[in-house]
Amino acid sequence: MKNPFYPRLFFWDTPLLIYVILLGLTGVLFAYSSSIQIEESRVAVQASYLRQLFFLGSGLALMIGVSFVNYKKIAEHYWILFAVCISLLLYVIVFGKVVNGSRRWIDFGIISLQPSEFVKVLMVVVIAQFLDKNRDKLREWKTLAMLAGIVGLPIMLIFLQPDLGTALVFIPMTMAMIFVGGFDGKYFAGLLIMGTLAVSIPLWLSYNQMIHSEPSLLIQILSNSFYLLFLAVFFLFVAGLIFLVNLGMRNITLGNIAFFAFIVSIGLLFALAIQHVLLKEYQRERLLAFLNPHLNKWDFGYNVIQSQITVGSGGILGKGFAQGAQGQLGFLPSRSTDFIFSVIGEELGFLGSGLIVVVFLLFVLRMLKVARGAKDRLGGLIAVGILTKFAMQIFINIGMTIGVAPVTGIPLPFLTYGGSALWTSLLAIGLLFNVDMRRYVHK
Amino acid sequence: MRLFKFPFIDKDPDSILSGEMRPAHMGEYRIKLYVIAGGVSLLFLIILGRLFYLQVLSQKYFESLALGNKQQTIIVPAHRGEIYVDGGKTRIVKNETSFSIYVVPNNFPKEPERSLLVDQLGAIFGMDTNRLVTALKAGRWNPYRSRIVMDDVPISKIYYLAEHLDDFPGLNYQYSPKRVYSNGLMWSHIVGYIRGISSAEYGEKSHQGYNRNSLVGKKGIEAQYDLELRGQDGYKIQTVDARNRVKGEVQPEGGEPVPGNDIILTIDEKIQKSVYDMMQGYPGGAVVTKASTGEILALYSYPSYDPNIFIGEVEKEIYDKYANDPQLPFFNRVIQGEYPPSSVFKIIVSAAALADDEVNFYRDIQYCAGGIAIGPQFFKCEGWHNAQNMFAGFADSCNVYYYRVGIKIGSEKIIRFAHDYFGLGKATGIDLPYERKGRVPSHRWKSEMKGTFWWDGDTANLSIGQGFLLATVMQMNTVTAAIANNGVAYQPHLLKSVRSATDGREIYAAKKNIQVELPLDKEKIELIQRAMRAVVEWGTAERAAGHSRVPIAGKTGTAQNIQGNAHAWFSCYAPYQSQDPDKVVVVTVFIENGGHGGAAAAPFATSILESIYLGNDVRYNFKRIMQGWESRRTQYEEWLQKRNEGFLPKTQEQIDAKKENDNTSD
Repeated sequence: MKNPFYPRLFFWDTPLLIYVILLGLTGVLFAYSSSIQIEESRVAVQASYLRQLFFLGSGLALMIGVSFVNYKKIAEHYWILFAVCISLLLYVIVFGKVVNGSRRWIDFGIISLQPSEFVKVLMVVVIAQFLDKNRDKLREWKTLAMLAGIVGLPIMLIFLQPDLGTALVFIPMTMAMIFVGGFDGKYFAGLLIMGTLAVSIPLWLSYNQMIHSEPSLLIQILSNSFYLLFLAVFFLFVAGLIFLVNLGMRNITLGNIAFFAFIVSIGLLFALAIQHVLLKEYQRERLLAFLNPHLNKWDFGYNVIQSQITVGSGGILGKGFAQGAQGQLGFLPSRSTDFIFSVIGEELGFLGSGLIVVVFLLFVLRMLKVARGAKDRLGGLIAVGILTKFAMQIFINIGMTIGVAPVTGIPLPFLTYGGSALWTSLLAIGLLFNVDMRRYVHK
Repeated sequence: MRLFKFPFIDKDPDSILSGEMRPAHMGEYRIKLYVIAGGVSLLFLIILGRLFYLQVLSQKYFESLALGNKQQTIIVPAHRGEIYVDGGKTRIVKNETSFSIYVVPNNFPKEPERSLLVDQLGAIFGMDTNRLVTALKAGRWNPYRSRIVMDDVPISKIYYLAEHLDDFPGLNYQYSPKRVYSNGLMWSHIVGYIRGISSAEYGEKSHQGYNRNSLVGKKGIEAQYDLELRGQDGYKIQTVDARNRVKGEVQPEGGEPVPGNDIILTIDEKIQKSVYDMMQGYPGGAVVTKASTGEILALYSYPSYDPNIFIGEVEKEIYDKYANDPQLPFFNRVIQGEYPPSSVFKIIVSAAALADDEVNFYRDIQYCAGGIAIGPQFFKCEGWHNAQNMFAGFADSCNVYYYRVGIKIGSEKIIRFAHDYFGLGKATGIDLPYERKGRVPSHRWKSEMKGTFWWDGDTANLSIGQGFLLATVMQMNTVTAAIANNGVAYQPHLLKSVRSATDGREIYAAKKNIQVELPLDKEKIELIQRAMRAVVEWGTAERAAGHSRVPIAGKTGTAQNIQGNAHAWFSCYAPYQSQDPDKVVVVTVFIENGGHGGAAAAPFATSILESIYLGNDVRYNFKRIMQGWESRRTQYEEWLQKRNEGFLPKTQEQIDAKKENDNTSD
C-alpha cells in the first residue's frame, strides 16, 4: 500500500475498458473505410483515420486523468460547472460556427468543438449533485423550481442553437436521473405528460398539414394558436379553481386533479411555443421525414431512404470491409459522421452490425452495473445519467440510420469520426471509472 | 492481493465501515435501475429487430434499390442504314452527329419537386414537357432504363447540362445519330421519314426488338424496310454516383449495337430530278418505270413535304402549315390517289375486245355523231368523229366507239380483264406502305353499295373508264407497261438491293415478279401498241408528243369529275417498237384538275421522256414543246385563214381573179 495509486489504478472495470477500446478501434477502422472516395474510377483515401487514432489515444489519456480526480470533489463545485455550461452554450449561440443551419461549433482554428456534447456530461454531474444535495427537499416547490431552472435553461439554449438531437438526448437523460433520484411519482408523471403534450401536438399538426391539402375541422381548430391558447388558459383556470376550492378541504384527489390540469395547461403552452416559436421549419421537416420519409424524398427524406437502402443492401454478411459501394459512390450523406452506422451495416452486414449493437448493449448494461455498485447516491446518479446519455445517443443515431428515430445531428459514441465527440465520450467514461473506482474508498 | 480481486464482488467490508447506506442496498433504487435496464434493452432490441428486418428479411429489395441507385441502363442507338439511289452511288438519306437528352426516371425527383423541375427544364432547354412527363409516366415499369426526352439538342445546351448535372437529377445526354434527308422535298414521297415510336406501335412491335426510345419509320421506304434499316440497338450499363456523374461503364456481352443495312433504290436521280422539276406547281403524280423489270426510276407526287421537319422536335408552325395545306402534301398521289382512269382505260377495253376476236381492229366501224342514247340517257362524245374503226377510235379517243364496244362485249368481260389480268382493284404490291387498291365495280358491288341494278349505262361509263371505276397512277402505269412489254408487266418496286453497312457486301437483291400476264397474242398487243403510237402521231396527243424526236406511244385521259376541272392523264412508253426491251421506259403523268390529258399531262410526259433519251433539261423541253404547239397553232390559223379566203371570195376583184385563174388552169 505504499503506492497511493495502487488500489485505484487497477480498479477500472476491465470489461468496460475492453468495450471502450474495441469500439474506439472500430471507429478508427471505419474512419478509414468511410474516407474512401471513388473519384473518376480512382480510389482516394484521406488520412482521417490517423487523426481518429490520435484522438482515441489522447482521449484515453484524458479518461485516465479524469478518473483520478474524485468525483465528489468535482461535484462540489457544481455551480461553477453549471456556469461553465451556460456560458459555453451562450458563447456558441453568439459566436459559434454555423454548420448546416445551426450554431453548434466553437472554432479553435485547428479543432472545432461541439460544446453541447461536453455540456451534457457536465450537466450530468450538476443535476446529480443537485438531486443528491436536495434529496430531502425534493417535494418542496422551491427545489422543484430550481431544478426546473437548472434543467430548463440549458434545454432552452440548446433549442436556440438549434440542436434537436442534443435536446432529444438531454431530456430522457434528465428524466432518468430524476426518476432514479427519488423524485415524487406524481411530479414525474406530470413531467412526462407535459413533455408528451409539448412534443406530440406540434408534430401531429405539422404532419397532418403536410399530408392533407384540406385539413379537417379538428386540425384547423388546433392549428389556430388562439384556440390552443384558449385551451391552455381554460385548463389553468380549472386548475386554479380546484386549487382554491381545495384550499380549505385539503382533499388529495382534488389536489391531484388540480395539479394535472395545471400540467396539461403548461404542456399546451409549451406545445404552442414549440409549434410557433421554437421549432425551426427544417427541424419540423426532419421530424416529419422520420415519420414518413417518402413524403419528402429529395430533401430530408433522402437521407432516411438512402441510409436504409445502404443498411439493407448489406445483407447478412455484408459487402466486406471498405467495399461498400453505396457510401463510396456518395449516395449516403455525411457517412463518416452521422451516418457511420449505415456504412458499418453495409460493409459488415447483419452479423457485424448486430454484433456492434450487442457490444453497445453490453457496454450500457455494464455501466448499469457500475451504477448499481456505486458507493453513494451521487455516484449512482452520475452513472445513471451517463448511461442514459450513451443509450439514448446510440439509440437515436442508429435508429435514424434504420428509420426508427428522426434524423438529427447526433454522433454515435466512439464510432463517429471526430475529435471532440470522442473526447467527450471518453471523458464521460472517465467519470464512470471515477465512480466505479471509488466505491470502496471512504473519504 | 487486491490485484486479482477484480471488482465483481458487490459486498465489501469497507462499505460497512463507510457508515453510509449504499444506494444499491435500497430496494427502490435497485428496482428503478432494473426499469432503466429494461428500457434500454427494449430500445436495443428494437434496433436489432429493425436490423434483422432490413438486412435479413428485405435484403433483396434493398439490394435492388441500391443497384438502381448506382446503375442505369443506357440504350446505345444502332447506326441506321442509309438510303442510296443510282445503284448505290448517290446517298439521299444519311446520319449526322447529334446529341439527345435522356432521363432515368428513377433518379428524377417525385412530386412536388417534379413539376417544378419539369417547368424549369422546359424553360432552360426548351424541352417538350409533355414528352418528358410521358417518359416519366412510362418509367414506372422500368425506372432504371433511360428514355430520350429531347432530340437534336444544340451543343451549347449540352455544355450547360454537362456543367450542371447536379441540378438536374436523372437527366443526362448521349450521342445519337440524326437522320438527314438531303433534298427532302424531292424524295419525301419515296423515303418517308422516321419518328419516335408511339406507345401503340410499341405495343405492336416490342417483340421485334423495338424499345421506347426507338425511332421507327412512319412512311415510305423508312417504314417499309424499317427492320432492314434499323439494325439492333445495343445497351450499356453505367455506374453513376449520387450526383449523377458517370463513374464507369460496362459493355455487356451481346450489348453492342448492330448497325442496320443500307438500302439501294432503283431510282435514277437524274430522272427523278426531271420529274420533280416538271411537276412543280401542278398537283398530281408522276411515275417512271422500266417496262422490262418493273423497277421504278422516278416517283413523285406534287406537292411534297420536307421530311427533315420530323427529325428532332417538330416545329408546330411548320407542321401545321403542311397539315392544313388544302393540296395535301402528305398525300402520295401516285399510290394513294384513286381517280377515274378515264380514256386510259380504253387500253384495257381494247385488249378485252380483241382477246376473243369479238371486235375486228380495223373492219368493225361505228359511226360517232357526238353521242349515243342508251336507254333514257344520252352519252356524249368529246367530238363528232363520223365513221371510225377501233384504231381511229382509240387514237381520237372516241367515246361512242367504246360505248358500243363495251355493250357488245359486256361489262363482265371488261371487269374480268381490268381486275384479273391488268390488276386494277388490287394493290400493285409496290414496296411502299399505305398503298390504295382503287376500285373495279361489279354488278354485285353496285347492288350492294348503291342498291340498284347494273344497266347498260354503267357498262358504257365503265368502258370509257368513268363511273364507279377508280385506279391509282401506279396501276395505270402497270397497264401501259404490260402493253409496252408485249403482254407481261412486272411488279413495280423501289428496292434494288440491300447492302451491308459494315463490309459493303450485297445481302439481298430484288427479283422481278410478274404482275400482269395478258391472254393476248403478240399480234393483238402490237395492234394496241400501234394504236397508242397513233394517239401520238395524229391522235389526241399529237400536238404535245407527235413532233418529238423520241418515238412515244401512249394514251391520254381526261377524267371528268364533279368537284372541278377534269383530271389529266397521260400514260405512255418509249421508244415505240424498240429492239432492246430493257430500254423501254413507261411514264405515267397525272395532273389533278389539269384539264385535257393531251394538253396538260402529255407535254409533261414528253418532256420527261425527252430529258431521259435526249438529255436536255426537262424545263427546256417543255418550253420547246409548248412553243412548237403555239407556232403550229398560228400556222394552222394562217392556213385556215388562207383556206377560208380561197374558198369564199369576198370582194369582186377576188371573184374576178379567181375566174381568171380558173380559166387559165383549164
